[in-house]
Amino acid sequence: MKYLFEWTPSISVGDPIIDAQHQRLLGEVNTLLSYLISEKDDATVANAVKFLDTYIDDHLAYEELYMEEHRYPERENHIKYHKDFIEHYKAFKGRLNGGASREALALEIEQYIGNWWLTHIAVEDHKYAEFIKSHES
Amino acid sequence: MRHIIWKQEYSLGISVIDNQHKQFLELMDQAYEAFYKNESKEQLSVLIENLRDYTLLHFSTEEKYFKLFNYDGENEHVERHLQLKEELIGLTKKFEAEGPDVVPALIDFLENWLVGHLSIVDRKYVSCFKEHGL
Repeated sequence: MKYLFEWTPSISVGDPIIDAQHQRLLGEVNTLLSYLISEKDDATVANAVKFLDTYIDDHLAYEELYMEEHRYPERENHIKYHKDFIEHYKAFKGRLNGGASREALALEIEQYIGNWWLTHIAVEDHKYAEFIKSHES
Repeated sequence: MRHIIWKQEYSLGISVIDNQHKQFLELMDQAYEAFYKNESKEQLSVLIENLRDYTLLHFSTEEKYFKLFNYDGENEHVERHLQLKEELIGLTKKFEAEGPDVVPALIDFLENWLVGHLSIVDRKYVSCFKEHGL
């Protein structure tokens, strides 16, 4: 199937470790979406959500350390975006555990979660990438 | 079938690291359980991939702290991570080639590695991490 949320070199942040994490994240969002659409069993969906959950938390924490290491001046502001997303994702999980329909959940991934990631990487992450590039090269 | 669980004795007293070690063991347990439930190779493959990518994320996190805190044992520790990453790539290939039968040995290996690693190599950075506020 064609994946909706694809990582492309145009959204590289210039750091191979973070790029790999972004690829895995977007891949996992696609996987979850395909599970919801193909009506995989609840346990499989739950495992994918759980993995995504941890992976998101630990990726964002990693990125925050990365910005600290490179003394990115807009770090605090960037962290606010992360916190907002985590709140939103928690609400999504709440709806999932509360028995929301698969269609509604899939729609939320398509319209919000997947797009948030693509936009956040292309816009906000791009800013620290540019900062680091101009200060360290 | 036994379960793979985090034990209090594994704690380094640094919650961000302890939580990642817990997650690491939990992913091993999921793969172990899926094997004993005769889940499909496709399903197992997803779990092994999760385990591999989470391992990389965990190692990257520790290594980022080494840099930030100028940890003097950095090189030695990173070398251990590299060795495990290579082992892990080999084991993943073995799984792709030989199928689910290799899963218990793969997970046993990883569990032993992690428990040994966190009780000896990880302990060395504890005081450094704590001095820096973790």
